[in-house]
Amino acid sequence: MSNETIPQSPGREANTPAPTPPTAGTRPRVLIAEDHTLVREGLRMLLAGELDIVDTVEDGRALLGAAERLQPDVILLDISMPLLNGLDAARQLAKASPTSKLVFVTMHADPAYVRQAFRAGASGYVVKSSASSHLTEAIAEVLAGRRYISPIPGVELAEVLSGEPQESGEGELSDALTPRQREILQLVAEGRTAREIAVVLGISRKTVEFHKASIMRLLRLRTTAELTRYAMAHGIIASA
Amino acid sequence: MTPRILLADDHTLVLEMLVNFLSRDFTVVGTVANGEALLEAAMRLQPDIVVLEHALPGTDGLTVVRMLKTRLPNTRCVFVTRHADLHHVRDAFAAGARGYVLKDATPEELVAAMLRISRGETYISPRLGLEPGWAPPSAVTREGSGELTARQMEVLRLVADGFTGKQIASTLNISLKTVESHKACISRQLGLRSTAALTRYAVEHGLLRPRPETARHA
Repeated sequence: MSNETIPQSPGREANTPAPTPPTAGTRPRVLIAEDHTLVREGLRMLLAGELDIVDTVEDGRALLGAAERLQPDVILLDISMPLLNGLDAARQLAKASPTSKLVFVTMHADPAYVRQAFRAGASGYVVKSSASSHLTEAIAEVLAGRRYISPIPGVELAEVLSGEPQESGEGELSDALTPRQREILQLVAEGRTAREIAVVLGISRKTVEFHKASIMRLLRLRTTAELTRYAMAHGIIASA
Repeated sequence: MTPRILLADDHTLVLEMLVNFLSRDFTVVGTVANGEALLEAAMRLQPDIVVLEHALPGTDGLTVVRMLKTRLPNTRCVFVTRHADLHHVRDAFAAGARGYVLKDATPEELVAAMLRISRGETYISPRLGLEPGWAPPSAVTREGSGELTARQMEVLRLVADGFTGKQIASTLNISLKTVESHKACISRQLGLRSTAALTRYAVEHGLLRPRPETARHA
């Protein structure tokens, strides 16, 4: 499956519906959040023919602002993103842009991430190892009010949606922390100083220090290194 | 004659994007999603340029570059990659790569880089912040090899394990000043600026494991 050669001009599979009829003016409005420029521009190029790409952003915080401003029909977002990861961003998007359908486009094929994504409010999930036909199919499906997962070994849509409680394990977001604490933890684990974090979040440096100390107390961790490893183990920042 | 290129990435979606970006200025002779398929296709198609990523399923990117260096000396290998760490760059050029383009590049930068490489030049994404005049292949000798000494490795493990400078000094029976100087050397060597970045490096390279066991209460 993974070693197939794709054609130079990728065509849509015969049984894949077009995402939308290309009626001018009524094309679905799509916002793209992806930190790698090549992938961001690549997504735009793949989709701009049939969809209205209203904006592209490169981190989770910029996503929140753009979504609130633009209220797009569909938001494509990655899981691993600087400043605010896609899963935490998704939870906040429920308030910032409640009618937007969220489709994760990510390298993570781990079932734990897929479950987390739907729990965070996703309607669709497409792994980057899929062909673009799966992405256009996902967008069409979520616009029609359905949910979609691209083929992932060991992951079934019905099983994910049945929402059976899963034991918290590696790759799961930590429920021990508040959303604000997770935001701060991600920024600490990205190697940012308290001063930088204060600027990003628009709060005082003292408040950052206070949050960091609470997180350490809560998790019984003493150093930045330990916080970083905790963030990696709990999917707050990507662990390669 | 437009240069013939072969593309390898484990993400089909990314391969399609690369084809879109490159097919105007280059002849894309094939796309593959794993290391074995890349080796096979390269030997069969003998492209001018191979584009690849570090983490290919099966035979990884560095191994492919090493093998192609002897088998197809006229084929130039270019990483188009999400790995923005200096040690990945050094490994790539040490293996014989001729270019290193980040997935953070714009499509225009990608095309310009590929055109330069097709003319026989080398290329490194400017965002890596390497000082001008950094000569990639020759820099991969002693000082900049990215290889850590046994002592540096010990210090790195302890840092990533959450030990403070003072604790490391007493563990290794050296002065705090020596610990700090080791840490500075390691940071320079790996091109990483913060304790958090050093910790991520240690986890990602299997020097230690992330700690899912901490703080499971709540």
